[in-house]
Amino acid sequence: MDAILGFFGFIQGLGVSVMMPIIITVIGAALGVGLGKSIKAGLTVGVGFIGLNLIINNVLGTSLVPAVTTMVEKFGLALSIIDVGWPASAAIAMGTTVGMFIIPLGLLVNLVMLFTNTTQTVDVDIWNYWHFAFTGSIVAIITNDLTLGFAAAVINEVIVLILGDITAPQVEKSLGMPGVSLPHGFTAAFAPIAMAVNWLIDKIPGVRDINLDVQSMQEKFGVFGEPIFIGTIIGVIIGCVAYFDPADIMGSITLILTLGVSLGAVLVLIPRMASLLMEGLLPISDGASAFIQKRMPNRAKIYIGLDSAVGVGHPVTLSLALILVPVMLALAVILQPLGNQVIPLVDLSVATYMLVLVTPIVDQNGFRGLIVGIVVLAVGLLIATYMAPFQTAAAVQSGFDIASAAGSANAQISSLCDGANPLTFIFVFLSNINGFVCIGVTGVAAVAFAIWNRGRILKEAKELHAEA
Amino acid sequence: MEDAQSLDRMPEGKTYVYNARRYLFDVKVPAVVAAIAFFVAGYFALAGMFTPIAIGVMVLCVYVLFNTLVAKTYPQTAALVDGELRLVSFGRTDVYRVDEITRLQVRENAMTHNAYLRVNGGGLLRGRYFVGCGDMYDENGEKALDLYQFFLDTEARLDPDNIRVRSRTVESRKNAKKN
Repeated sequence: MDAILGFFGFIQGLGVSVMMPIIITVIGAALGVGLGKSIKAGLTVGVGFIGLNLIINNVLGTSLVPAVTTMVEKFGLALSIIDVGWPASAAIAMGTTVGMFIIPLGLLVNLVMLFTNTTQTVDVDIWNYWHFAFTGSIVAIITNDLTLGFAAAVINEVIVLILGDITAPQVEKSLGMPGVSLPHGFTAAFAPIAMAVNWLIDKIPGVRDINLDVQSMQEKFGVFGEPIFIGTIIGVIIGCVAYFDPADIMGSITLILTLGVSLGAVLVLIPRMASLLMEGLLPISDGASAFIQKRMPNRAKIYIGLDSAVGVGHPVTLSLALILVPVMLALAVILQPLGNQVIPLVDLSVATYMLVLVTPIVDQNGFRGLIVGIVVLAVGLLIATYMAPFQTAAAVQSGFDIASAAGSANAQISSLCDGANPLTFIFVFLSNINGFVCIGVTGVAAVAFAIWNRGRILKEAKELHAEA
Repeated sequence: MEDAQSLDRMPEGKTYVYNARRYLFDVKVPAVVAAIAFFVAGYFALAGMFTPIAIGVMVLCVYVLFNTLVAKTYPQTAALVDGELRLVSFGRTDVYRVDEITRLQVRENAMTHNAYLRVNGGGLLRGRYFVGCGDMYDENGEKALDLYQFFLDTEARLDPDNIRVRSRTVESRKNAKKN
């Protein structure tokens, strides 16, 4: 058992960029794509993920975080909970007992769901199973019962895989990623909110007719509607708010323009990384298709479940994420009377992941995306505040160094990812009532959801094979 | 029957050209940004600053530049003339006789009508294309939707049992019913 756990712990420690090529290679070879082609596909996907992570976390993160820190200092925004960022949440999640077992457990749940036709997603993004471990770990801490923690992690995975299935057609259509679903524990959790707000907007005359998509932006604003200009302009505006100092005009201009050009470059380069991923995945998804044709001739379409990073390249998602940076800070202050105590800092670039499924759900309408984004952020900040004591307790239990992350061992910590996760919040909220109530309510909901999904999948398979 | 239908729908004799401004921002600007980023990252790598990140950025820039300027994966002009598919990018014309295409893998974006193609398996230097049908127009100003459909039809003709092809057929039938 120790050896098995040690193996999965080693795999986990490699990180997504190393793990994804290995998994893609193994899956490709198992599907009969051929070892050489599978290795090539795996490496291409790995390079794509390195590129996306570099641009999102390093270029975007390192450009935005100092600007926002300056804004916070300049405007004297003082809130008591420190956003320590998603790497801290992942470390907390994987440092617990639930985290130690999450990869084999997650794989088993996925296999069972595939064989019972309750999901169409082969979730190869096993690194992101940590989101399920995060939920499970916090439930285990609140209820002081490890079994309930494991049950919560499994239920969370079931719900997220189904959300991945039902949003996959929109992902294929809007993000141009055929055969891909995004069963990402953080991103998928915002899909129901986006669906609800989108439905609500559909009911409001006048508002429902407002459409601001990339094409109309480009038609209306000419070259200034191009992603490179949108990124640069938003960067310059954020830079002006953060860095403009009448005492040092030249220094301010340098900082402002650097931020503008960096964000413009981000909007140009990220879509190219998505192309790289698509090139890498093509042989694997064709291999999966051929495998199903040959071995499981009556099955519905199968999706390859990937990290939501593959969807951040959409210009609407990226533009919204940048626009929402100052909005996020304003919301943090505005929501203070309602209880918000979280000031978003390290997880600023995470807003991009929140919006990945929002863009397809609102049919790439930037106006609706902005409304959904504001709602999602407002809800997220309040959830992150609610979650902070539990996240801090989990951090202490898993041996996370709070003092070096937050500046004081007594500080309360949170993060947007997964501290602001609405699904995790439901588990935590119900666990605070009673652990068995939590597992009972969410378990029944997950089973009902799975039965409904099975019916949908079987219907789709029937339609698909009626064509043959 | 399927073969004949697909070939009948082929928009024979049509040439589609990428809108010049869109080609500038979709293809040329990213290449220029990648070239600049390559040198900036190279400078950082040589100076020993953020070396792993800088090397990563350089690799990605090479990918962008290689695809654009060497493999010429972004055709500016696409034509279906005399039973041939002709794709022109940065001065190179790749010609495929339609009846000699044995395999066409298509990854389409139904929203933008852009398609990633691998012709006859595709190779490092030739056979991979990102065709922006949504931004290409014929001489009458019509979007290259026929060309986009031709790619989908050809994939369906060559690999009719492919589950993605079947799913696409079911989807389009459902959409047709809705409309």
